[in-house]
Amino acid sequence: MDWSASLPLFLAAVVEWVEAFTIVLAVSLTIGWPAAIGAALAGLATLAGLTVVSDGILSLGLSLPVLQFIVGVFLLLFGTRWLAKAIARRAGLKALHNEDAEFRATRDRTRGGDWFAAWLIAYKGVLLEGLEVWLLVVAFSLNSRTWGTNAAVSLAALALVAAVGGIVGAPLRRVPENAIKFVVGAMILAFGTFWTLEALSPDVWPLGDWSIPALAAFYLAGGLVVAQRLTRRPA
Amino acid sequence: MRAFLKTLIGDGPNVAAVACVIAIGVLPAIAGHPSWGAVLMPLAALAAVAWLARR
Repeated sequence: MDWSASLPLFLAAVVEWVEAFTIVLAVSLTIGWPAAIGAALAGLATLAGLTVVSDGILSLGLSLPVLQFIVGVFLLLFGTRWLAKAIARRAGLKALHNEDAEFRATRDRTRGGDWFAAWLIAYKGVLLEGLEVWLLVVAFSLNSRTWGTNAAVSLAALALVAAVGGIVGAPLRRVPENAIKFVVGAMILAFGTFWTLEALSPDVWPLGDWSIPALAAFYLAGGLVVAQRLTRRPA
Repeated sequence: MRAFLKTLIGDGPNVAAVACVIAIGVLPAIAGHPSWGAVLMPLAALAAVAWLARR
């Protein structure tokens, strides 16, 4: 197992599955647990189908630099978004994600509505939150061809969230979502920078593969400095 | 579909910022100094992140 890819994938998946769990939990109050779990499973089945289709498409014989470039660009898009959001939240420019507020909003939206509309909210919630997990599974599997391992890592994160959520029976508000997004955003951005430039200019990185942890450390440290500079100080 | 695309690639500023980061990685190679890309691209990516965080 490639831990440098599995760790950010697992942590990112935990964050996304926690958000999906909150939506499914809120919807279950309206349509009951069996139907809410059915909607979640339908969302997961769609994601599994997407994974199989993307594996098939990407096995058509694209050259390594093309694959690296595609992976790199998607990881750059993903990493910049996550790290920027985590910095904005750390600096107080954006409110921290609140699972309780998300739970109440979804519960209020589905309460008194029709059954199918509530079912669709759970389905769409799992699908959209899981889409980022799918993207990471695809991106980390393109280069290494470790589809099975990466899918298993994301499913292990899902099992953990489902087990803890099932025991707690409430939104998982104690997960340090922003800290995880900060670290994972920096790691994903490091992979994205490395692979994009490697595809455009082969062997350009002075430390080879060791450039990835160096880049992650640079983005983490740089992100902390940026957050510090953006923090609003009391007048 | 809109939510699907936004989840996959982010919003317009996100895409524009990443396009600039890639351009900054490519330009040194075109100019015959590819190794500069390994310095300039991470700096550009961090600047892009800072810009996106401030929005």
